[in-house]
Amino acid sequence: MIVAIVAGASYVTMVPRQMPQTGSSASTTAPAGTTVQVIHNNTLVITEVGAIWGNQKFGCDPALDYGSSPYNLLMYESLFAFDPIAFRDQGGVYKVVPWLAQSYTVSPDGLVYTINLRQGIRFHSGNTMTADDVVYSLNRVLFYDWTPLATYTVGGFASYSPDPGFKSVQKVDDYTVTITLAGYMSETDVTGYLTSIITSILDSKLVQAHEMTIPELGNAKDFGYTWLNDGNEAGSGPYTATSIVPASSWQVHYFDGYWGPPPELNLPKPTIKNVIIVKDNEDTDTRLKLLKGDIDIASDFVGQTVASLANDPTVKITGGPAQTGFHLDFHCVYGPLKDWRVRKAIKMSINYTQVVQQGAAGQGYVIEGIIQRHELGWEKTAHYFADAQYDQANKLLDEAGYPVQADGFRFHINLYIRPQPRYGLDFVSIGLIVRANLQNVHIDVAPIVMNPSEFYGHVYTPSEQMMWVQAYDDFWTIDPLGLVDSALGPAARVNAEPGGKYGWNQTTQIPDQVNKIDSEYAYALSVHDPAQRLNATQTLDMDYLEYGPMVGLVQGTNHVAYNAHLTGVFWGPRHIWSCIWFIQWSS
Amino acid sequence: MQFRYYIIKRIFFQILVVFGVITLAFLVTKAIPQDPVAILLGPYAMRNPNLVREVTHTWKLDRPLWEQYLYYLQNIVTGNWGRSIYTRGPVIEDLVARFPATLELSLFAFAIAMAIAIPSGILSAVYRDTPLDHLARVISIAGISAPGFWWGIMFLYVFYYLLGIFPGSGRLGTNFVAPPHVTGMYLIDSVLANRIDIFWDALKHILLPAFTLGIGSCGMASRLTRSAMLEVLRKDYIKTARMKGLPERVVIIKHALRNCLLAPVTWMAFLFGSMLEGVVFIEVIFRWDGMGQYVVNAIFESDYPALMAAVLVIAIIYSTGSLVADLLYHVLDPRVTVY
Amino acid sequence: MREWHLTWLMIRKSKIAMIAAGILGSVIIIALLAPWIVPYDPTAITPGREFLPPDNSHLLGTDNLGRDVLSRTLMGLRASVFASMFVVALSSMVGIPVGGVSGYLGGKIDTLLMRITDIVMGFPGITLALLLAYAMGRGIFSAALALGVVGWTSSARIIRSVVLSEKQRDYVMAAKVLGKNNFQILFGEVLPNCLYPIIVDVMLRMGTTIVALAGLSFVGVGVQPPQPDLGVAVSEGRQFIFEDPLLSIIPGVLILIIVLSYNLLGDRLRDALDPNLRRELVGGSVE
Repeated sequence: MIVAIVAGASYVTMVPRQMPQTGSSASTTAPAGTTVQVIHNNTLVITEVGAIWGNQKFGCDPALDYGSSPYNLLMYESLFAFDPIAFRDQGGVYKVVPWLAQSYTVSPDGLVYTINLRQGIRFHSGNTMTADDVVYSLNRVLFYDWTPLATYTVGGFASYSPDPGFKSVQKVDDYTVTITLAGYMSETDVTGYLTSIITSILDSKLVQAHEMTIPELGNAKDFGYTWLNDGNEAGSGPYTATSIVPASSWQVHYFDGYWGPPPELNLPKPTIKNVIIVKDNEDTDTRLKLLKGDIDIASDFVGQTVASLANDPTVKITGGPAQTGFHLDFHCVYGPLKDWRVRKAIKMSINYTQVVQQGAAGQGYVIEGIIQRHELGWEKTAHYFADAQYDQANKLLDEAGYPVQADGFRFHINLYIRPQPRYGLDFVSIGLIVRANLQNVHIDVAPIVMNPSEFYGHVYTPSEQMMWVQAYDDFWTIDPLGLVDSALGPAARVNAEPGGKYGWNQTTQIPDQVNKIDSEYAYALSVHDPAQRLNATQTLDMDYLEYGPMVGLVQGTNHVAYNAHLTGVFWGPRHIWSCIWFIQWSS
Repeated sequence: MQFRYYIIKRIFFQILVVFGVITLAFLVTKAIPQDPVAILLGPYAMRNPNLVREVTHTWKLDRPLWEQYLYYLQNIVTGNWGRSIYTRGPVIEDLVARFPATLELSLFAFAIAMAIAIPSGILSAVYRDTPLDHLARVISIAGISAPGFWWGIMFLYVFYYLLGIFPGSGRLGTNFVAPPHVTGMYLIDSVLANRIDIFWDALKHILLPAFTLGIGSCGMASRLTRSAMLEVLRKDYIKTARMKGLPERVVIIKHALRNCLLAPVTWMAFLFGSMLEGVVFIEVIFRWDGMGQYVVNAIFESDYPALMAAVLVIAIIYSTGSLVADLLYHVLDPRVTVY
Repeated sequence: MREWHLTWLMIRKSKIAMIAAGILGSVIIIALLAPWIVPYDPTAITPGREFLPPDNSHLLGTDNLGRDVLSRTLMGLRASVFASMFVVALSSMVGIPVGGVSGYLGGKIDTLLMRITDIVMGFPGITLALLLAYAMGRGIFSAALALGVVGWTSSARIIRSVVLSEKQRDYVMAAKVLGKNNFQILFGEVLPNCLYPIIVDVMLRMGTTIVALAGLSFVGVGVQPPQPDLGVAVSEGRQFIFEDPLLSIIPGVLILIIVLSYNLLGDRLRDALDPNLRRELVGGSVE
């Protein structure tokens, strides 16, 4: 994830980092002889299992919607987008194209982006989009960085992410804005961020008319947060709200006055007139309804469910690698885990293939490093440690000075596991497999099921020896004081932070290695040449695997299961939005 | 006069109880090891010391415990019950939105349960020791015995998926929108808005969860009715009526029934309360958007402001319910003196 | 002595009660022996052997991680049975003294204790247990503790009303004359005579406790993985209801049978203790 940014320069399929991908496109074609009725002629009923949908009241504020809820994806648009046709037809390529923007230029030092807006774009309210709306919308995101209303920020805006971030947004004239960066970022990085739902352009006149104040923040203005979260929308997208009752029901319909799609892209206009979104965050229940035909598209089933649905003729499955997965993290400052050899031995003992095949029912990929699958150079670190190297691990543990005790174990350690599945991956199954694997090297693992926000308290406990299984985006809600964030972030950035007491860089045993990784990271951030950057990234990843506090367990897959009567469904970078242009009901 | 005095005393004690519940909740809040400021602000905002100071001061977290307690009470009374970490909205709004759902489900479940239980209990007593009686007894005990959530899973699988008789989980079908909010209970609001189609859909959706929820109390109520009826049938005035030569049917309906129905009031409150315990699980299984589901979600998201507030609300309702039941019982039978 | 004999006679009369007692007896024995009779380690994950149908090596098949269902069921039974016994014991140990003291001493103490009971009863049981278990950290112990803390109120109330009526009896008067102090009278004379209602209450509460405990485990607040438990089994089974319905049917049916037995036995026991019915049996007054 960190390295993803670093590799961003040459990363063709750039997706905004830290975006949990919850796909929701699905189409199945019903095989003959099934009893699924086509009852929704112009309507689509979609749901996401385990939906997080940002941290809002499931309302309509896109800047807080890091979960990318389907209705916001359909109602709002951003300056740029990933071309759906390119994705579909060119093997999953993330091609950035201007969407609300018409064109853009970059200053020679790469720090200032001048963006020319399209003219004649109308919001659902009837107002015309101008530079004022862009400035307001992007400034909202900068504001949210610092308020309690968001526990998530888009990397690039927050100056505490590895990226330098955006510094300011300014209006030049009615249809031109400039965005100034706080430091160099690659072009794909910048435009990539501007495709995100978080940087959606809202109707500023409408929102400003409904601003309120926040008492807890000394009555600062809320940038329309309250009003939007109550289910009011201010978008420009192909769909507009029919009825949105936050936390209860979301229905949108095709907006007849829709300006787009951009003519040069040759996208057809959507044929689906109504989309109903269901929030049903439970696997079995969603599956019942999908098979009964009450739901048309469902995404993010747990791997086991997907594996068995594959045999069901009434349902079709599509999907692709998710930009997220699970990794195993170590508390590095105390006890046996302080020793990098112990950490490495643990990493060597895991049977990664079993984790994927059994823990994720085959619905995932082995990815041990930080470079994710299909990111440039991913092959090098994906299966860095071979499966279940028990003999070498045992030897390493003996060398490190942790012999097997009288009770048959070298030492005891707690493994914290989050209770509920996420991104189609079941933490508990995976955690139990890790435990079983480590029994072969005589390490006793006690699984403890607990929410990250709870077990992070344990990380601050000096005597606690622990590991935990985590999803990539769990950081934001779980480490409010950033004490452990440093355990997972590059050491370089961390030493300047308050806290950072329990980061792995505090382990005194390998100061040379820590310094080496620090400088590798700094170098990787600074170099602009794509080939050099790739090299630096891979080196950093491998060193991190050798000495660092984490190892990737499995990269998830976005799965979408859909009614067999639908055509044109595929999983794309903006989920339902990518394929809504093509979806049709066949009979 | 005596009665009025009793009411006042009873209400006073009930307020004390609610007060005790609120205090208990406060103490639990203090015992939970997470930093409330950190939970509100999130990781990045926490690095702004000004913000941290601001919020800590506004929430009086830097004041002594008794001051915090007063602040807490003040907040409760004014309706400021904190912000949910999960939905990020004021907890009180979340609760207000969800409370009618639980209320509707419980009332409906209870109504069905009593409608089945009382007649069956009476019949059971009248035809005592016949096969009918035995059958009724076993069924009612079986109803109490299996966990509600298990029945729910089985019913959903069989009646929705396999047989298609009932619709699936949730309060409404996917293509229906909730009726305009008057009470929050769909059955009522849809009629008020003259949307009979929504009414039917809501009705179809509530039947299965209500039945599952009510099984337990149904069984118990049936048995309690049965023993109450048996008790009454043994009484002298019944024997007198029989000796007078009145037909059995008249004896039962005119004399026994009226007296036997007095007893149910006592245990109805208790039954309703114990039924409420199961509502959490039923709401989880049937994806019913009520307070029970809210509590479980809050637990899984470690959303402790929401959890505390929800538990508090449930507790207050529960004890208020028992107060009402007590008073009702007293109204109906003034001879009874409660301690 | 005659009392016990009478009770035994009444129970024996009822075939249902005998069957129930038999079932409960065997369940307890199985629960005791479980660690020694399980064919496999209930937490042993075996790759490649998921969802096997019942056969000779796995009498009830395997679950999604290849674990033997029979072993998990037996150990789960053990966990549920003993945990609920702990809960009932805990709540009785608190509830009986509280109810007894309250009923016997009366007056201000009675009022105070009953008010405290009211406050605790003001929280609906499961909700409070959920809250407590969450605050104390998930696990079977916190769940059991939470249920115990919450569950003593009903037995307190019952014991109190029984003690209230027993208080008037002759033998209490006699004991006072003999110079015994309150404590001796209460615990030495009165409470032993309340044994029957206590036993019936315990029986019935065992049933509700097993269900409550299963509920907490179902929601995820009780027994933690990888340990098995009947509630956890239902929850896990629910996810795979299409692949293997047995996974959720078996634990549910087991709970049903056990609780049913407790209820039937407690029910018959209560009938057996009903003075009216006893009178009918004996044909005279029983003292």
